[in-house]
This record gives sequence, structure tokens and C-alpha cells, in this order.
Amino acid sequence: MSALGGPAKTAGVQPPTGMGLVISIVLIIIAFALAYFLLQIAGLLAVVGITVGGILIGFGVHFVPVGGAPAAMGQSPGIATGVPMLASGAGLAGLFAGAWAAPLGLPIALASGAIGGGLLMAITCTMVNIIYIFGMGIPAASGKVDKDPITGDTFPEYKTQGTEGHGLPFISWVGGVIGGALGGLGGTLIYLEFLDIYQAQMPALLSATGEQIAPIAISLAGVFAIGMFLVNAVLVAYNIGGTIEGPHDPKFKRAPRAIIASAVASAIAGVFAIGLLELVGVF
Amino acid sequence: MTVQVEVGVGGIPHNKIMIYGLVGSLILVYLTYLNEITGTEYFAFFGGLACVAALIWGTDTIKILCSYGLGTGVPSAGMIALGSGTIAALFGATTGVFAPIVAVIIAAFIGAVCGLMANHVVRMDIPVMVVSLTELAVIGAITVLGLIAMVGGTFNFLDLVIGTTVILGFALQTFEASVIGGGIIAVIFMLSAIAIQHAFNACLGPGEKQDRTLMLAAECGFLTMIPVAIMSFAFVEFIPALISLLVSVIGWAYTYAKYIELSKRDAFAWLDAKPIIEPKGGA
Amino acid sequence: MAMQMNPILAIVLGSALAVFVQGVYATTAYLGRTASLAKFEQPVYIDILKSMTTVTMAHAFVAVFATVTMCHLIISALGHPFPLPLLGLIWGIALGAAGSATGNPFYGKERQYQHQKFGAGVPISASGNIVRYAEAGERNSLDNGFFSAKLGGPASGICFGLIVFFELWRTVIFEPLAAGWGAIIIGVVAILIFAIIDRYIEVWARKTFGPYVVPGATEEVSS
Repeated sequence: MSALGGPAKTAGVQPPTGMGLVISIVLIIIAFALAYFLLQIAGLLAVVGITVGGILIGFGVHFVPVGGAPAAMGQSPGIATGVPMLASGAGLAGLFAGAWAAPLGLPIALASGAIGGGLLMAITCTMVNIIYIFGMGIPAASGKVDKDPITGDTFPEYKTQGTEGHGLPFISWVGGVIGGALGGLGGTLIYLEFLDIYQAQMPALLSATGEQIAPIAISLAGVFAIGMFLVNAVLVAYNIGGTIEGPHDPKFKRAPRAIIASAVASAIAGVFAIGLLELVGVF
Repeated sequence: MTVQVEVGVGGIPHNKIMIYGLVGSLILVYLTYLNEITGTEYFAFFGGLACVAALIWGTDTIKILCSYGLGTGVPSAGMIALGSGTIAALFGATTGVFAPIVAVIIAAFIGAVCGLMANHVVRMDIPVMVVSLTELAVIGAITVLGLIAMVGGTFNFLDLVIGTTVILGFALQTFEASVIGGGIIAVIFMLSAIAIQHAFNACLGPGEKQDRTLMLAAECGFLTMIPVAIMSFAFVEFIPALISLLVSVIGWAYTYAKYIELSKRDAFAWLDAKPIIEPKGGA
Repeated sequence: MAMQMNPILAIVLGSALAVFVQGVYATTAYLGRTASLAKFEQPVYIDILKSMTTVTMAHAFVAVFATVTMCHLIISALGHPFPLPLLGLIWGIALGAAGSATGNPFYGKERQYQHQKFGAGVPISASGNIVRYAEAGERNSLDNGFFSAKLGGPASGICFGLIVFFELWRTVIFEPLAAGWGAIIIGVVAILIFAIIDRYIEVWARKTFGPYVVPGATEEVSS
């Protein structure tokens, strides 16, 4: 769909350009240096955490089987929604669970977030298969591989002629759950990093106690986490070109590009988000 | 989306819209600063008008970006605009009177980083990608800042975190009932994300005309102002909020009527089926 | 709270406002796309606009009201730290993702291609050939309500309900156990149970429906 001379469609995966890699490395170093300058070790650790969170989101979204509009018509496998919305849905459910468990400490909150996202995807993928099988009488078949890597089911004879496949083969189901778990984990990590920084800085800034400023810290951290989640999901959507079948899809090999892009975008946005409170009262 | 995306020819050149949009929305956001100077809150609605100006500019940018064939849908552009713009807007809000300028600069930086990542690392290789994502991030930031100013009467961070609630007849200052503490940013985030991408997404097609699309963008802006004006009843005085609401409703009614008129002009046929008249004496 | 209004009244008024915005977006989207397709001589049917919009708004009101009430209860009864708008955003997006994922295929394939044979995907060559005449004359979107109510609609609702239920149930009941890890373990167990259910129905489908073609042979065997 390139009406005005868009990207040249060459075969194979195009690696990032040299300039792209140089800019990425430079920007990450700038982000870390700025964080250290603004908030010393706490800031540096926070930005490292945010970058790792962004990488987890970027990598995780590649696992989720997205089919787009053709999947709604039984023409291609996967879930019949778009990448940003499906990834956000999983990640935000994970964020919900992780934020609820935040008072119990970092490991439990992160695990809660991962399980939250994974559980949403598990239930959604199972219901999608129920609709395909009981509502439409279509068994699951992948169009990109002949055999399921996990269960060994063969696909060519179960694929309707003239389609690219349909439903959610087991490898796509597992991919969906892993993607949801990684997305929830990354989103929760970003949220918790923001929350720590804000809860450390705000009481002194606004001359109030920790519990009193909690609503502001939680609100800000939550909105920023959602915003960064969407930025990462859209960058991944650009990377995979809109649809992907899951971890067995050849498009999955494009993941390294998105990991670098997510890391840089998250680091830069994260530095501004945690440096926010440094400027309050300066002007 | 099986409709071929083509650039509509003719109309106002994009650079002109960009300059009018940028300068116009910045002036309108600064007009809300009259609130601080005069000590009242009557000028809050200028923030909403700034949002309308920014949305008109943003629609043209999305049109240019999406005509290159992104491979994914139009809504993702709105998501990435708001995701990066919100952080910049709130970062700018901490700088007091310089908020709009700082927000624009920071948003331009974050948007440029996202654009560079998308073009050079993820290899979208679209000529206008970096410029478009920069513009979109700036638009996102101005939209959020304008709507925050409309809801809270000010774009100063310290004033946005304090709100009043009345408990047992006593007016208390709490953090929980403030614009930021109450999570109003989340509502503004989603309203703006939908508004930015709706105008182009709805007018997509071979017969897309710029004046109709931009009129729809203005209508989306005023429509977004209506819920924000209603929300502002909780944060500003009654009369200023009423003024905001009246401006929003009148603006919305006017642009909506003009949009329907323009659609009638462009449509192939405008069919209004009449009810079937029952013959006298039964069928 | 700041406006001294009853929470339930506030939720009702808020839902009404949201539904107004949604209705306006629906009308502008319909007019815009059809007017832009004038080249293909597609007329704009105003009676569709007049009859559909209010029905859509009514459905949306039920969905929005139920979701916001659920979020309000999660905050006031179960003590979640997020403010209501943020929680509404989260569950709204999750509802959109899960509900759309489950309901889309049912409408997209079963209703739009009702004259295709049941039990197979739609070949790409038949993509534009959708059903135009329904139970009583020309089909329009109002008929989809009664059709989706048979499976797609309730399935989407059950999907979202299961998600919310398992999230809340595992946290509220099991979090006090094992110093917080109880909820995590139950979550893993729940995922494994769903994996087993999914695998079971997948194998059931393969065995019961049978292949379209005998493996290795070239002629098609109708299922």
C-alpha cells in the first residue's frame, strides 16, 4: 500500500542503518548521563529499569499473534484486532495487577504484573479458539509453517484452500501468553520505577507526607506508564508491518530492530518523566 | 482497510497549516495565562481553542504520513503522538510560565527520537517520518497542555496538584481531588488520542477533500472540549466553567453542521428513505 | 467528591456524556468514509444514520455504565490505589481488546459470509462477496444485534468477565497466603488450566472435523 513511493520492498530483513545504530548508542548514553546528573544513582538505576521495561514490552509484543482484519474473516491466523490495542490491553491488565501488588515489594509486584498480562491473553486466546471451533467449525491451522513446533500437529491438510490459515494453533496460543506476560512485566517495571522516584521526591517538594502525595504519584506514574506502553507498542507495530502469527513466524526475526528502538525511545522519554520534578519551583 | 490511500491534491499547503497551527495554538495556550494575571479563571476556554488549532494541524500531518503506506492503521499515529506528548506536556507544566515553549521543545526532541528510531532502526524508510513524528509529538503536547489548562484553569504544575473538597461543610485542600491526583490526565490522554486520528481515518478514501477533513478535525476538537468543560466544573468556578461549556457547545454545533453540509456536497447521493405508507384498508 | 454528587448519579451522567461523544463519532465516521468513496457511486443512506445511531448509543451506554461501575467498586470495595479515570482507561482498553478479539471473527465470518459453506475459512478470492439480503430484505447493521446475540456477543462478555473475575479472585483470596506469592501461584495454575482446555478443544476439532484434504493426497475431500 505505498502510494507515494514508500519503503522499497526488498527481500529479507533489513538491519538498522549504521547511522541508526550510532544515534541509538549516543542517545542511550545521553539518557543515562542526564539521569545520573539529575538524580545520581537513583536516577541512573531508574532509567536502566525503564529501558529494560521498554525492551521487555518491545520484545514481548512480537510474541502476540495479531491477525488484523483478515483474521476476522477466517483468512489468516491470529487474533482479529490491531497490534497497539491488543498489546495495550494485555499490558494494562498486567499494570492493574502489578500496581495493586506494589506495596508488597518489587519481585511480587513484577510477578503479579506478568501473571496479569499472561492471564488476560490466556483467557482471550482460549475464547478465540472456542469461537472459531464451535461458532464457525474451523480447526486451527498456520499458514507459515507446516508443523507446529510444540505439538507436532501438521497444518497443510487442515488449512482451507485459498486462505493463509485460520484460528490459533497451539504455538500461537503459547506465544500470546508469553507476549502478554512480558508486556505486563515491562509495563509494571516502568510504573514501579516512576512510582519510586516520585514517592521519594514529592514529600519534600510539596511539604506533605508520603500517604498524602500518593494519589499524585500514582496518577502520574500510571499515565506515563500507559503512554510509554503505547509508544513501544506502535514502534513494534511499525516493525512487524501490522500482522504476525507468533514466535514461529519468519517476521519474528525482525525483533532485534524493535528492541533497540524500544530501548532508546523508552530511555529518552523516561529521563524526561523522572526529571519532571526537578524543575518544579525553579521558575 | 482495503481502500487505497492517496494524497488529495490541491488545498492549503502543509507548511502553511503547520505555521498557523503552531503559532496559533501557542498564542491561545498563553491566553489562558491571563487567568494568573487577572486572578480569575474566565480565560480557561482558550486552552480548548488551542487544542482545536493543534488538532487541525495534526490531521494534515497524519494525512501526509499515512499516504506513504505505513502497513499499520491510522490510530497508531495518534497513540504515538499522545504517548510522547503527554510526558513533554507535564514536563513543561513544571516550568510555570514557560510551559508551552518548553513542552514544544521537549516534545519535538522526543518525537524526533521516535522518528529516527522508526526510520533508521526499524527501517520504515519513509521520507517524511522524522518530521511527521516530531510534529505529531508537538501537537500531542500542545493538545494535552491546552486541555489541562481548560480543566484546571492553569498550566502550572503546582496549582494542578492541589484541589478542594468539601467534607462536613469544611473546604479542605487535598491532593486527591486535584487535576493530576484525580487522574484527569488519563481522560484527556484518551480523548485527544481519539480526536487526533479520527478526522483523517473517517475521511479516508479516493474522494478525500482537505476542507472537509479539516472541518471534521475542528469538530473533533470542539467535541473533545465538551466533556473537558463538564469536568472543569469540579475544578474551576461555576461561571468560567459555564463559559467553557457554552463555547464548546456552540463551536461544536457550528462545525458539525458545516461538516454535514460538506459531506452532502461530496457524497454521490444522499438517500433518505421514507417510511412505507400502508395502503388504506389493510394490505 | 469535589462536586458533592452521589457517585451513582455521577456514573450515570458520565456514561450518558460518553455515549453522546461516541454517537457523534459514529455519525461523522459513517458520513466521512462514504462521502470519500463517491467515486464508487456509493450513496449515503440517511435512514441508516437515523435508525442505527441511537441503538449503538444504547448498547454503548450499557457497556460503559457496567464497566465504570465495576471500576468504582474495585476502588471503593477492594481498595485499588488507582484513581477512577485511570482504572476506567485500563479496563476500557482491556475490554476493547478482549471483547473485540472474541466477537470480531463471529460477525466477520459467520454473518458477513453466511452463504459460504460452514466449517471453512473464507478464501481470499471470495473476499468481497458479502451477504446483502438477510432475513427480511436488504441487510443492514441493525440485524447484527439479533445475530451476534446468539454467540459472539455473549462470548465476548464471558471472556471479559472471566478476565476480571480471575484477576480479582486470585488477588483477593490468595494474596495473604505465602507472603504474597499465593496469588502468583494460583495465576500460573489458572494459565495452565486454560492451556489444557485450549489444547483439548484444538485436538477435539482436528479429530471431529477431519482434514480438508487427505494428508499427502491432492484431491479435496469435503468435510
